Amino acid sequence: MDKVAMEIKDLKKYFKTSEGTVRAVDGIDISVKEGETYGLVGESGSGKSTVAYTAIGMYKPTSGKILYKGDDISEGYKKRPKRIKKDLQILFQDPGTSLNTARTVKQILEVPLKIHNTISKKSEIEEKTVNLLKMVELPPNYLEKYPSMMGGGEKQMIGIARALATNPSFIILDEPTSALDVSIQAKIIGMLMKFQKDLSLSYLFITHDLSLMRNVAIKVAIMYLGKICEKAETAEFFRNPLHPYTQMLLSSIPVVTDKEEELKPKQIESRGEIPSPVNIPTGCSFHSRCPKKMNICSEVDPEMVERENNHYVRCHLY
Amino acid sequence: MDQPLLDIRNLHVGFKIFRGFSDVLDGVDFQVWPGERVGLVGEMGCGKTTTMKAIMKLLDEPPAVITGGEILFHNKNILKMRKKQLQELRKKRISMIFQDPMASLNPVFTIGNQLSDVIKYSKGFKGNWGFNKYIEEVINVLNKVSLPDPNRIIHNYPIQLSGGMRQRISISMALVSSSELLIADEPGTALDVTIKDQVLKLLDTLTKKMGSSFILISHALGAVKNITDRTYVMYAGSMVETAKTEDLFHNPKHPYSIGLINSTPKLSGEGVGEGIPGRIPDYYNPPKGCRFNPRCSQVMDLCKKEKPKFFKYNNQHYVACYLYKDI
Amino acid sequence: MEKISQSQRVYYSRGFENVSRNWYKFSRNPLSIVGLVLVIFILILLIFAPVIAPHPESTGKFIDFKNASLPPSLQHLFGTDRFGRDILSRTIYAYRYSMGMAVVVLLLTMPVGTILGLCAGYFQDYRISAVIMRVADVFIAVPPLILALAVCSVLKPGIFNAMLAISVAWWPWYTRLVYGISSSLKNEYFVKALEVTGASSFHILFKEILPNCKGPILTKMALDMGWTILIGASLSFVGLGAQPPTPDLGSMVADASNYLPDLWWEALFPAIGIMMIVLAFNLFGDGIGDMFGEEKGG
Repeated sequence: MDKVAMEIKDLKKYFKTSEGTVRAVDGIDISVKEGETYGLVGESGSGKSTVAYTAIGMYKPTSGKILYKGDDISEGYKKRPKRIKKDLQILFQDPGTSLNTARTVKQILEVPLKIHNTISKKSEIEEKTVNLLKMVELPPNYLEKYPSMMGGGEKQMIGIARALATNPSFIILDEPTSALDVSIQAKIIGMLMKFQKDLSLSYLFITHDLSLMRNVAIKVAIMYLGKICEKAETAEFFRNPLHPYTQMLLSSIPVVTDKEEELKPKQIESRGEIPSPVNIPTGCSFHSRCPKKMNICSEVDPEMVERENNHYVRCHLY
Repeated sequence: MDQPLLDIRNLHVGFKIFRGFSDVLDGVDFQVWPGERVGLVGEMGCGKTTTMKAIMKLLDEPPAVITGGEILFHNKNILKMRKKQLQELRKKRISMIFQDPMASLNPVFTIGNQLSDVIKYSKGFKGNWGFNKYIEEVINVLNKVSLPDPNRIIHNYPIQLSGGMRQRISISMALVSSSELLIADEPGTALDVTIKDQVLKLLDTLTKKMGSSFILISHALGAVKNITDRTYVMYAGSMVETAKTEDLFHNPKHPYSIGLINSTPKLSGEGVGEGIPGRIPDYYNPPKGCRFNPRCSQVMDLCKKEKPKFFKYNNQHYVACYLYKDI
Repeated sequence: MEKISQSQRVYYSRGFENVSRNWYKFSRNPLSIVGLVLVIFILILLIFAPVIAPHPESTGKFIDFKNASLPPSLQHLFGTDRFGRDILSRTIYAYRYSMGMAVVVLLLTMPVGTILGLCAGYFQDYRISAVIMRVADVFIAVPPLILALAVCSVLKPGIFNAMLAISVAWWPWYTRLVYGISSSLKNEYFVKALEVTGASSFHILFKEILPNCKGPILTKMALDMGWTILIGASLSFVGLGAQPPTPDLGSMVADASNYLPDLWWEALFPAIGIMMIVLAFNLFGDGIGDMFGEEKGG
């Protein structure tokens, strides 16, 4: 059961804009095993959403490869075989725009069913949509509602139902709860974890919320301006954060209990601004804000090295 | 002690729209003492922005209707003030920092231009200072919010600056008039975590230095923890609990507050919690009695009949819940 | 199967709730209700024209010089024209032709314009979108009346050719309207979600994007009724629309304009007729726009 579901190799995605080339993703290596949750953390400009969109096929990589269960899916969704489209789904961040406001829930859920399942009888499709709603704990009368008639949490649950409609085995979750309140977030995360267990799903979970990541992911990778700074297994990662950016992130998180306060690194405070991705600093992209900066940092970009068991860091300190 | 600076008493606000009457604020009691820093925590849709807009009299009436209560500032009812008094209030005494910094900055004017306008306005156009003096004052103000290189920024347009900088600038605009009360509505929410942290720390330092009263509104508990002296928790249109911030976090009493703290993912790895079952009530047909009763695990019959008032738990700690009725 | 019928029940009650919500939005502005009343009145006139018009024979080949050019009287509420024909009856029948023409024009231009707009907005392939939009731009650049006049003058004068001419001038406005919506929705997450899951372009265009255009299109159609009638009347005013003896508002005004101000009733009543029908649809169209618009408050 240790098979690799998705492997991203040296992925690069550059965008040409009027202001220059944006190196949104600049050399990423990620490996997600079946049945596990891989967390990808980063702030704005880090490129985490671009990784998600490239993996689902919305963008074609500038270079690098994405392998899904052995198949090369780097070509973008148009060239992707239908069975992979069925098996690899995505849940978007903004519940407001990820559902068509001019369509009812029933019509929204029917689309993936009609495309991928060989169900053709009308009554069977209706039954399946009711079952999908039941899975996300929504009553059947939601079928006739429009998205504008429900709250953000419920819209996101419809999004989950839509993603599950094709019986996928891998779901990319792009900040699924960032727009939601904490109490609804807990419910949705609980639901997602339950589905993972019951349906043996693999997740690529993208977020900026490290506290959430701590409780959800088995492996974590932190991105900054298109590159991974540090990646490790979750427990090890939080026990021993190595990269100064990771430490800065951890020290900025708002927490609610004293126990958590203890865990936050004290010696590093957030400072400086995130540079624009059009204007990435030379050498290590973090040097403009790094409290532990050395001379070499502004000249040479560090390589990723393995420190201890599967704990990788990209920093001249190591 | 002396009087509170701001005293909202039993405020009822609703909205008249198609389906009928949306009874949002259901008896809000909220107080801020001079020099005190108060947090207001509540999830989306609980009415906190409506409350703050009511204080500044920014609600569009119609469709909003203020059906009862009073908002006392220095013991004078804001709801009954005339336009001139309100202007005076907004100019000199109460300032608001909005959630989206882009919303309070005009995209077609430079920062220097906008800030000097604010300064001119707050000084009441008295005594023409001359261009240089305004710029000096503007730079002064920008330095207060730790903006790097203010001489360059005054020539920039808002779109050329990052979110964090815009937020600082809107904070500086609010600070220009030495305000007695500063209201910050979810500052930094639209920003990255590291920048948000900087903004909150800045607000912390500034309010301590200026000694003004401060209301910090947020939907996340963690944001208010280290900056406020006292915190209110709001649900579905009224305050359900208030206590000294430390007490609230260590010893929450209202089932909703407890649920909120439990649902917050913990950095220490204890999981994400169960969430709170149910959803926020429909304001067109809100539950009778305590509005939290359909979702409360400890609901009693009395909760469904009559709305609980604030019961005193201990020093400065009040809970609007019948579980604490006779302590 | 019980659950299905429950959802159907919700569907119908939702439909009712929709109607009452839509009525609420429509009726906020009292002028919209005025528009609605006028439109209903006009529709009654149209349907029951043979019964309502006091002198239906006036609408065909009819000459009665004895009663020619009579001012308004009880017998002829709007008076008679120089051929002795009852102006009231002719006006009522003229409404039929005007409305009919407007309906045909809209039924032609709306589908064509919409489909082109959908494709141009969604397929940002320059070959499709650029070609469509530049062609549309060319047509839009010429004022509709002038374009219609130009087309009409090349063809034989007649009602059918007038409809054709107006359609030629009118279709690009729908394209532009729908292009705006389609091109902005193209980048929304829900469209991306559909694409990556394998939905066909046909499905995305017609089943997903088109429903979002429903409101603006219907609003525009309601307002366009007034405009097309006005342009139709303008065309026939210069003799390019309906030919005699077909009663037509524009040509009635044209014929009568030579006799102003003495035989004022011959021009005035058809003109008021034009004004009323255009006003009715403008007010009604505004109401429709409100109905599809956003709800405020809460």
